[in-house]
Amino acid sequence: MPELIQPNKNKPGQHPIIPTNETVELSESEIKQINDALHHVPFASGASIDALKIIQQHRGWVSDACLKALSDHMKVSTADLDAVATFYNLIFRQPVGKVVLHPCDGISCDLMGGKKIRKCLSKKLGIGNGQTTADDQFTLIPLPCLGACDKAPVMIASEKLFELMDENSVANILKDLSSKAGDKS
Amino acid sequence: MTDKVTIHIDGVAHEVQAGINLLQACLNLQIDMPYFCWHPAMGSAGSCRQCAVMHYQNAEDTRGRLVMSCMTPVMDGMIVSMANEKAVGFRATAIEAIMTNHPHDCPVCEEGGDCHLQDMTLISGHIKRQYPGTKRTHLNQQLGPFLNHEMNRCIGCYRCVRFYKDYCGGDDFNVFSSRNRIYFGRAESGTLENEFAGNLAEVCPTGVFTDKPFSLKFSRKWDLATSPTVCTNCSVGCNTYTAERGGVLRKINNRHNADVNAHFLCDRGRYGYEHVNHNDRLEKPWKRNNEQQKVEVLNASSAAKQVTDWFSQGDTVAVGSARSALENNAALLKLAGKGNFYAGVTDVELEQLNLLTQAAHNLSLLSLTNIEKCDALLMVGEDVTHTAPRLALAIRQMTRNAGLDKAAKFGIKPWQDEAVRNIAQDTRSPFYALNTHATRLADVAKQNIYLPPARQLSLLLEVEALLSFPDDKDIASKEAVAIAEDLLAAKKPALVTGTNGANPQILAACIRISTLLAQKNENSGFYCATGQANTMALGILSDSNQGLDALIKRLEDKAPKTLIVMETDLYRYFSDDVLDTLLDKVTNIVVLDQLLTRTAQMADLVLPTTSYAESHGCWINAEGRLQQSFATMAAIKARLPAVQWLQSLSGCHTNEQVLAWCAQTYSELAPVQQLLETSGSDFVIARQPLRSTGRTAINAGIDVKEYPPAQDLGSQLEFSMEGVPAFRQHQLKEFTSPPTGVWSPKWNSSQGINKQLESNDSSNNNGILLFANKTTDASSNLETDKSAISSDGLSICPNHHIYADDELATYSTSIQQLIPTATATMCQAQADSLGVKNGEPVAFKGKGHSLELPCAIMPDVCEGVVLVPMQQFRQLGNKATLTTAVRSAS
Ligand code: SF4
Ligand code: SF4
Ligand code: FES
Ligand code: FES
Repeated sequence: MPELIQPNKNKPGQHPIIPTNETVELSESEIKQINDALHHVPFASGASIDALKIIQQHRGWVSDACLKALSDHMKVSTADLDAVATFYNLIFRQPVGKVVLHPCDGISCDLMGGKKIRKCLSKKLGIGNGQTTADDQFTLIPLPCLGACDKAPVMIASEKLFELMDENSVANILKDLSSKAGDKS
Repeated sequence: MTDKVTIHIDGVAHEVQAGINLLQACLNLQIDMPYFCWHPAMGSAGSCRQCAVMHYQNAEDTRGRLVMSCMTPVMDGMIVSMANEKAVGFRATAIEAIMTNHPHDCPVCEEGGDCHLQDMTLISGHIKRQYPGTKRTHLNQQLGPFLNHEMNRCIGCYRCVRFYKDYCGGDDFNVFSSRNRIYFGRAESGTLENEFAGNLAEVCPTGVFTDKPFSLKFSRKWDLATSPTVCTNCSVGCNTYTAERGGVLRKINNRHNADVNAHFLCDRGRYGYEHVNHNDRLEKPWKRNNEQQKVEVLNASSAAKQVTDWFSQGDTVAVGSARSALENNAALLKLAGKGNFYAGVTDVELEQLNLLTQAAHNLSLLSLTNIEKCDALLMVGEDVTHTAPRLALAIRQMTRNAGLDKAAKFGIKPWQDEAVRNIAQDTRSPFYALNTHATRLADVAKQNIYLPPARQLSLLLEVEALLSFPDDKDIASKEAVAIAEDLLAAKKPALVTGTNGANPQILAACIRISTLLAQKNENSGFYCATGQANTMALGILSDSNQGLDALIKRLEDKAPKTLIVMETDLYRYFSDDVLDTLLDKVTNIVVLDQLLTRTAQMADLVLPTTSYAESHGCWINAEGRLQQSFATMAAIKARLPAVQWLQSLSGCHTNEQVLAWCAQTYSELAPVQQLLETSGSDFVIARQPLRSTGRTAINAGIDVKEYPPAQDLGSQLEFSMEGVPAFRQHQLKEFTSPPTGVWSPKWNSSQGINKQLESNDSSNNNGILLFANKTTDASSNLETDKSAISSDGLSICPNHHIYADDELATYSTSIQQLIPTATATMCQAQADSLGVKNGEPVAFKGKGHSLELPCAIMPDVCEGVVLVPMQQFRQLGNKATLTTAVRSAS
């Protein structure tokens, strides 16, 4: 199990290290996947989203250094790549925990008690929206309407949809997810 | 005549130009339709929702539907309402929403008083802020010496990114994030790389981007006195507004001239003015007293008398200036006589100017607006981004035409910007860049061809042959075939070159090709960027072979008794080794200049002259367009325009007299007569804006006493607020000089210009075209010297740089910060063959001068070429050689 970044005990979600001036080299498999994506589009910039997702899949998030490496490889300026990266909620430009929780904050879910669920999550984890737990397990990013209003309130995490949540199920779900997060690493 | 359609706005029928959008039509009709994101040069985006109107299907339709006027083409019989309650409400709500995040910081915002957002907020009727919540805030970025960045003021109109990225092709600026957090800037702090970034100060309708050098000497628009001027930083001759207060030039803004710069300037032009305020400005006449080893201050009359005395002793040689007004040059030439007048440019440049002026009547010299309309273009021998920057921006737009045509096939209008770009993608009109190294337009070129000058020339000869015999493809290179095919297939092909490559053979070939093209296609055209703002005037005035190299020969042969050097720093062209001894032999050196140049330091008598901002004058740009520039402020101290210093000798006491002499003496300048006939009306014109209160308080910061304003004897303009104010001037047809500023009732910001575009298009204030009359005399002396093609040695070529090359612009501290270090630039292969590594010194020799530059290795420089910065190239001359490539001691 690789060393975790030393968590900062006082401020949840604030990583002590966000490398800014390091340089990054894309791995062979990243390059291969990115080249595949480039293959399918007439203009390199068209593959921006895919390429960013590939980086994120390998590294969990997209650092400035990754952006620079990607820009050199794709011949798309960092400004153009960053414009795409920052537009989308699900491309992370800061480190995130092993599991990113997306409780829904859309209107249907809120009618069905979504607000309570989110509060409960926050309280249990000790973090606010956009923050990461000190042990790097969880990041909380609510999203509006996950397209499952009939099962409201809902949450997506680890590529799984949790339906008809209530405050009681939150603890179990978190436990379940955190053991999975452990497996992943 | 353009087609017209009738539209009904709030029950009133109006005739408007067909094909435009409703917003533009309303503005042309002087209707105060609010807008943010639309820009006349960039088209519509429909993103700000500020220009909403109610559109009715027909006379029966009483409900109507809201449309954005900027996105709606005018149609015959169209019925719309601007006053409809819903439309008014929508616009008021839109701006109220925008304002929820806008800080209430007008008092400390430099846009205040010249702010489109202020104007629009008021026009839309959102007078009272009701939003009690917090506002989102942003971190700002350091964007370099030209622009401030204050993101909190952003209203998200997208104009900046559309200008920077889409219009100028910059890739280091973008829009980040989404919704409320939307951010416009760079990926990280750093100097904006694009040469036109400064326009953001005018493009942004709020105070996000403001003019940084102006910040240091900030003044509200209503406190600035402004006059219409012409940019003197290059040969394009963009039209500018120069603004001053208290004798200090504060800032330069764009002045719309539909044929030249239209809406944009380059950053050299916008920020290259600080020489006017510089500490090195000369203030008084100085005379050297060699016996007592000191400098005496003279008064104006004794200084003028001194020149007269020396002149009357005979044997006087004079040097004119490419950075001085036509009048000054003509007066100097008149007094010295043609044989004794030397143009302040190199012999090579003069030779090229002569080629150009001889051929100019046969060629159709394009305006920038016409360049934008071309559909195939070949740029030869220099990167105009560095030598005539605004021209490069026009070429960039020209490459879009194929895409615009493609969109037009789908019925999409050119101003429907997003749709056009979507359809066009990278469809571009063919543009070829033939140069020794990569140009800043490389990204839009169909092909970038990097060749040494000799091989550029042979490629041009192939193109020339192909134009006459298009079927001889097998004997030509594929580059030449492609170029010739595209030029022949185009409806409006153009050739762009310049004299800054210092290669008369290439210019001659370009002229021949253009002549051939013109015979085949009357819509084809030509543009040749020249060296400085008034180089063309010297080309017209002076004899061939009377350039600075000829001057040096004359000084070597026999030093004249008196040498009058006007506004030319000889040390920019020759090294100390050469000049010091030669100048020592001249008995009396008179230098007329604005600044204490090296040459001025050698003078026996220095006469301080006025800068462009303190004098009226005519400037002839590269296309032979003669434009008048008007003094912004009265000359201070003992400064006088050269015309005045020389008046008793030249016999011409005013600019008008000099111009009259020009019109009589030079056939090319005969059209100047128009200027003399039209000038003069009964009205006087105010430089200062109309102030209802505190009317004379402009100078209260200096002194509460009210001094009488300085008198301007040379024009209708007054150095005060007396006279017709700017917002009235363009309405009065009898005015022949351009307005002294952009104001329009309710529109304090310069965006008011967008209500005047229609009248500006047909204005006669756009300058006089000297070469408009076509003659048929065949151009002579254009044969290619075959030896020029076969040179296979190493070529030392100039490396131009927008911020390094113009003498006066380099006095600006903002510009100085962006001057790159001087290097000998070459490709890896060239460095290998010379045996030098990156950073190692390379030695050059030429014109009796030697110097060393560190080697810099760059891709995209062709083999066989070593690039030297223009300034060093000028001193080494065309026949420079590489003496040694010394290996460093390691
Ligand atoms: S920075 Fe200015 S131009 Fe750019 S979007 Fe904001 S308000 Fe518009
Ligand atoms: S292109 Fe030339 S004339 Fe125009 S603003 Fe720039 S320096 Fe001035
Ligand atoms: S609102 Fe939550 S899934 Fe639709
Ligand atoms: S100007 Fe029409 S929507 Fe912005």
